[in-house]
Amino acid sequence: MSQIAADLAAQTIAPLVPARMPAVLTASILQHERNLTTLATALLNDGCDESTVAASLATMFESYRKQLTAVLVRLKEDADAGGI
Amino acid sequence: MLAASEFSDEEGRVRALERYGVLDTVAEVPFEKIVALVQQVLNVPMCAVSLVDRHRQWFKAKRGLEACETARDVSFCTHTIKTPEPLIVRDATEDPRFAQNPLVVGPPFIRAYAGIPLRTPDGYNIGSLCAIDTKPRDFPETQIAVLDSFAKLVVEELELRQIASSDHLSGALSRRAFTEQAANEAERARRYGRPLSLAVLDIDFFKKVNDTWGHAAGDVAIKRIAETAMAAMRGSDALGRIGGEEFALLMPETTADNARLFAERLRATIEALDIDAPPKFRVTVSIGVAEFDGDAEKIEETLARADRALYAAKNAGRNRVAVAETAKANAA
Repeated sequence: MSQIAADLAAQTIAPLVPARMPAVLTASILQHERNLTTLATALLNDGCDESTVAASLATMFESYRKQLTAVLVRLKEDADAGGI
Repeated sequence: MLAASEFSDEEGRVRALERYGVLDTVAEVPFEKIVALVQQVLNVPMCAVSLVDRHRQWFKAKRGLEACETARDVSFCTHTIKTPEPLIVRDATEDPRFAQNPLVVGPPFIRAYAGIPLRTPDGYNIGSLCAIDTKPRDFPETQIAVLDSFAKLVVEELELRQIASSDHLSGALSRRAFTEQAANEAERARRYGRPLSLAVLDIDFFKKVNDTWGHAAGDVAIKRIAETAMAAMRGSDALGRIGGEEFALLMPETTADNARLFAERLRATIEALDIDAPPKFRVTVSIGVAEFDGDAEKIEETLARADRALYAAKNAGRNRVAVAETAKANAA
């Protein structure tokens, strides 16, 4: 795993790191960072330049962040309803 | 590396796919973005997130393909899901598996194909992320690695959705997700005049389990009972945890009589189940069954009738199954 790829993934996902998440979502976020690092490595190895890689990671992260937000809202609504 | 048997467990594979509840859903941005990026990076005219159902492949997202689904017997992705490795076809016209395939000799005139299995965390290949060209071509290892990375993101997206609909102790659906699925199945049953039944299951003397062996043991009991129910269910059934020690089971295409038979088998299986918390102990369950009557009620009322049948089973001594009176008899 190249340092550049790891750095790009870490920078992309940085906005989520300070957030306080339920444990089940923390595991998902860590997995997402690993997947972004793998993607960045693969794109760099395939000859993509750093800006293209960063843009691809940002696109993937934005989708993930939106879905994560939707999941958080839903979990909170379930918890507020006293549900399971 | 997965055992060969895990690739021949077709029923388990289809169940794994059905658990995501993604088949026949509308187009969604995260998957659309993935196929758009794959198309751009690999420079292919066609790309798809293909989910391989029992008799068809259905595209959750696609670029350059007209059809929304194809039969499995012409699907390249059906071959992809048979192994953990990517399927690479440089020129389909020179591959005896595909040379006469209607998708090769006719539209969309597939010549080159690269597919990565979409593998769930429990080891089932539910579909493929594939890149397709109309000209023969090689897919270098670096491109396969890119495709593989995007395939992982597809599965991650599906898994993230599951988190919102699952009860994390039991693995069953959350109450809300179960209620939504029950409403959808009720609509389908009403539209096509098909039978649909519900069962509500409650662990007997659960407070005593917690008081005697502790809440951790109670949690193990909940988990084991959910596992037992899910192992006994068909792929089209759904289990939800709707209360602390209460589950509901949705059974499409099932009359009250057949639902009662299933519930009775499940009750007996749970009665014989050793729950090794530790210590090892056993529990029993009471179950109420009701068949949905699309002409007379909403699914919430069916659930209420099943719940009343459950309490009839409790009042009759527990560890038994009771069937609710029909909706019409109930209304009379």
